Amino acid sequence: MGRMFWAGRSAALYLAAWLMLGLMLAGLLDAATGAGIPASLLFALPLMLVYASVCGFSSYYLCRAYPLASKSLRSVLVVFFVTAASAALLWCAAAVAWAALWRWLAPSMGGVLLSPPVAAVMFGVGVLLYGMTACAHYLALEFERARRLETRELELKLLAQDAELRMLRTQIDPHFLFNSLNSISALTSIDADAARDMTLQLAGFFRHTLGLEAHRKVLLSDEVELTQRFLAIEQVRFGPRLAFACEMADDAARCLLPPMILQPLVENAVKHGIGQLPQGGVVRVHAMRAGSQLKLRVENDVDPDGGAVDKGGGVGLANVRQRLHAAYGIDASVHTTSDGARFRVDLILPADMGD
Amino acid sequence: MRVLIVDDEHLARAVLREYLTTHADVEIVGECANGFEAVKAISELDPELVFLDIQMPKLDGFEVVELAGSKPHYIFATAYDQFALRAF
Repeated sequence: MGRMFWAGRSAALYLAAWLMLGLMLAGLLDAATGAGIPASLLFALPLMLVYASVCGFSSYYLCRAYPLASKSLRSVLVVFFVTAASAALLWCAAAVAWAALWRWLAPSMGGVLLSPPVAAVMFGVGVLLYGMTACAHYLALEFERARRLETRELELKLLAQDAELRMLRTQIDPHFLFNSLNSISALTSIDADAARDMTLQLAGFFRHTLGLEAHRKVLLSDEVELTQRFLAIEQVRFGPRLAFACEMADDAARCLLPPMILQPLVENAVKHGIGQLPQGGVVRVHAMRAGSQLKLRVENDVDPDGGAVDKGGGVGLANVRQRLHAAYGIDASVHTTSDGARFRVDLILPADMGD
Repeated sequence: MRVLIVDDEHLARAVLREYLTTHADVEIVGECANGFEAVKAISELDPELVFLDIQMPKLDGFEVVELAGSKPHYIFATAYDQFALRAF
């Protein structure tokens, strides 16, 4: 808070408040001592401004040294009472000296005469003002702390999202890359053109994933393109065993969604579904809009008597679930169903057109 | 030497075949894409050596060895090191 509090507008506001207090003190003195308005003003305003800077600086450092969160209330109260009392006492002494100086400089003006009761009132006012300054400082500190916490939380959330996406990216990389490189190595002597095609597909796939950022949503059509690239690469490995069908309505294609939502599901479909079928099968992606909802479905053939049907509920699916929840809360849902020969993941999320 | 190649990925089979054809004393008697075919081929073709992928749909490499018996010699081929350990 420090620098900001003392800077610019805050400082001006602070001084304005003290100027008003100075006016009040002048009025009070005028009423109590009958010194007249000009003399009271000339006496009270400089006195108040001096006290303003004394209070401001000293209580600022005290507030920093005695944070409410970590010090006991009693020690804070004792410290502030002692300091407030000494500050007010010094202030009264200064006032007495100041009044004497005025009478000496300009005896004709009459000046302010500080009788003991008036001095006592000034002492009380001084203690109160010091306390109020301290309270204002504590308030500002709390404000500042809350705001810092808020921004930190936001930063952390963004960081976490990015980390998650990075994790997801590295999670696909090793095996996928390993298999792809093996395929390319095999193709180089069998079919050099196909090897080049596959290398380009692979490069395209990685270029696409590298451009993704966790907090920037992508068009569904882009996400589908990424999965198509992925499948084209896998098709080289699986040959005719892997077939792909995609149905996407035009209004669905223009919807936005967090990146890498479909890809892990399709990867699962290939690994746990088609990969377990000697005869292969089809991966189907279906996307449509229903009112304010975007409905996505990834479906794949599975081995009806294989035990591996529900392996799809692993890291990839959990990650998709988590990220959809983080992005949309309860507005998004993920359901998996299996009817023996097919495994299905249904996603429902708000249709976000980006406006 | 009569050799059988078993792998569910056609590219992997192609690579093995390519490597093996450089050896004049090796005769490739067959290729299989899954465990069932492999068990059948081992009993019918009676190879001396089988190159066997471990990670395959339905019947994996270990199950093929169990069913087909240990008459031929086996060379396990795998991308997964956890399988490689089990193969011993």
